[in-house]
Amino acid sequence: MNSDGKSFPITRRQFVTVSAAGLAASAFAHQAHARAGAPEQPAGDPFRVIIDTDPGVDDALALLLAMRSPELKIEAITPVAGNVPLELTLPNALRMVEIAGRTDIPVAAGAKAPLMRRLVSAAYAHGENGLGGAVFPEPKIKQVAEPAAEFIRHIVRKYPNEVTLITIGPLTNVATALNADPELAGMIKNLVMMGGSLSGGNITPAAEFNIYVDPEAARIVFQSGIPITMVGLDVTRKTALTETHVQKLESGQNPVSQAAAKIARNAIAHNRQQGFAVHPHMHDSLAVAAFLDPSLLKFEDYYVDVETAGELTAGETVGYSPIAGDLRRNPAAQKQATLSMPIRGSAPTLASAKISPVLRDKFVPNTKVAVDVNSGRFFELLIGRLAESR
Amino acid sequence: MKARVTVALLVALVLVTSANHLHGQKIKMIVDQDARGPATTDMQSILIFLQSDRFDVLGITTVSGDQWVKEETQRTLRLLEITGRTDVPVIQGAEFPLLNSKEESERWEALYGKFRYKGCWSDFSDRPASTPPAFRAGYHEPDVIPPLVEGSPHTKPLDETAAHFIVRMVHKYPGEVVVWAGGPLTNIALALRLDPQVATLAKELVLMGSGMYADNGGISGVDGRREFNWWFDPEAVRIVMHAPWKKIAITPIDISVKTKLGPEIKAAIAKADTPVARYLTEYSVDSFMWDELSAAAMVDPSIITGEKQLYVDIDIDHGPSYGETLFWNPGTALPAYERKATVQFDVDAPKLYDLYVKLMTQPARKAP
Repeated sequence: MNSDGKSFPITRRQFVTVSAAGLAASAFAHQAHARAGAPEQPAGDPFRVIIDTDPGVDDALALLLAMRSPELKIEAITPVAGNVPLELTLPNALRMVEIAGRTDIPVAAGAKAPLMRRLVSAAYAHGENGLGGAVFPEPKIKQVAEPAAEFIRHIVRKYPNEVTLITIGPLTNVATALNADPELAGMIKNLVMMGGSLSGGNITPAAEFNIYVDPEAARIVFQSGIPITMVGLDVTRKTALTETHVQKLESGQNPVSQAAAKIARNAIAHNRQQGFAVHPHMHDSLAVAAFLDPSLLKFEDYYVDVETAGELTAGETVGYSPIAGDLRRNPAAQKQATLSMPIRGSAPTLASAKISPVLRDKFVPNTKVAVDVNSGRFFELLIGRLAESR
Repeated sequence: MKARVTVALLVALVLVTSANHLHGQKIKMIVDQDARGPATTDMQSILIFLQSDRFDVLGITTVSGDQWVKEETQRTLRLLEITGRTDVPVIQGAEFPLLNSKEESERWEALYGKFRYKGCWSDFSDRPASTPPAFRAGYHEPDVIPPLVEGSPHTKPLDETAAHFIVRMVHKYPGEVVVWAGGPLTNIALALRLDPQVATLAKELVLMGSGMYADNGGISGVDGRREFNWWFDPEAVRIVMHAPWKKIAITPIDISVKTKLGPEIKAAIAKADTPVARYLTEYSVDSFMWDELSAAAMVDPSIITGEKQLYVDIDIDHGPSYGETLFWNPGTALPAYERKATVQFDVDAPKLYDLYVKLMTQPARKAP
């Protein structure tokens, strides 16, 4: 680095260092309850969020939950191809906005296909229409003119360091925005994703669906330096919807609860038809809930990256905890690792022997991974908010 | 926000006015370039588009490759100031390739061998002081802009991303815009992901990149099918080369190595006393005419004396051949997503040199 050279007010390296230090500090102070990577704001001010989504049964319920949560100021909903193609996720998102009476929220159409790969969809789990076969009228409202990645960029730049991305689909839109605008990552407050797993996948033995659909995009996001909270299969597997939940939704005297009940009822029937042994998991709603109330989950700090090349492991989230078990980090080496960790690139196992010969001294956590959930309290939040009368 | 709208309106006004002046005869160009500077093949190709009266340059989009994008943007702005062409907008593009990285290239080297040239990931601090300034600097981080020998610009890039600029221009002039790429294809790939219609709305894609038959047998700096622009961001190439362009023209290194910008051309340019000639005389590098050839062939297609139709693609497996060109002859049974391109192989070199000297010694074109 040329110290005489002109440089930007905050370099990408400083940004990553600060983000990583924020993650590490909160972990050591057992501050898992705090919203990751950002200072708390005054009580009463809603949090600005963008929800990137591929509805999708559990996406639909997650969107309804978010739109019924006064803590959130939803700046945009950005559908992407995933569970079903964009031709369905876009109208499904518009439908949810209409059902919730929240047509004030702009919807921007996202990517039709993953960055590099052909779309693998999951109609087997979400039904041909993406809503478990539950039929709703064609939406009357339309998406905004701008593509999702560009819309995300404008909102983040309008409110620098204020916006949280809640991503509950493949990460194509976010990765496109991050690559097109190199400064953007440094202006995003944090990102809460449903995606990944450190304990085996659901579309392949190694990979969780959202990451598997677009592993390249996921890698770009994990390597961006944005503080990430990962709500993966490790916890979402513990959130199967039950008959009791559906009955509570059916008794809810509002259109949102009725629509949620209809989707849930259809999804349970579809699941049974498809031969699933358990009822549908509320993957995406849990990610929204993790942002609304982090105390529902237990988090641990990991360095997470995504396998993009593997024959059996494409789309696997590979997590490494430098403080797992009784491992202790050498404080000097940890500081050095924070300073010299690659900003973009593969795990530094071969390239960076110069940092330290000890593996755990080379890695700085980039992700808070949810490792346990109180699913009873989660469903109280989800069902309660959807069913309550306003 | 208001200021931004005003700027956008002004820019739109400038573009509309310039379009009116040009009678629709000129080729509307987006010049996408990894603009290492000063006075490299990157900058010289930009100058060809600016100096020739055949083109209406809608904008110059920058992308990391030969140098990091932030430094490139500054050097491009400065070039436009020097040549009095600040009417041409500069739009800053992608800082990182989609997936490839400096770290991955170092891991590759640990496993398979050394790369000859790594663009912005290179460290040239051990080069002798006689090396032209563009190739004498040490490695720096992407955020750093070292002092520029040619001076610092006071103009600024547009408040827009390169990818979005490309999308906006092909919609504004459907069927009219030639997208020309002299660097890695990151911006164009991102534009395609923002809006897949980019490929069909553009008139043509023309690019310098890829390598087929050229090998390093006696040709310094060339590694067969591993060509720098394509090697730097292989995933972007894959996205771009699978898109349904109406037409693709490729200038590969096979033809680049049949050209040479040497002392004779420099001496001819040095005779002129214009800002462009002075800039080139002061800083330019002896080199193959990688990007100049691709640009000059758009000014006068008869410079190209031999071309072939080939299906062209790239290897994106992250192994020893990551980033190497793949190509097949027409008639090969291939998946439907492979695209045929016109690939240039033979050049009338004296004609190229004459055209180049003529353009670089004439007075700078006035801003329209």
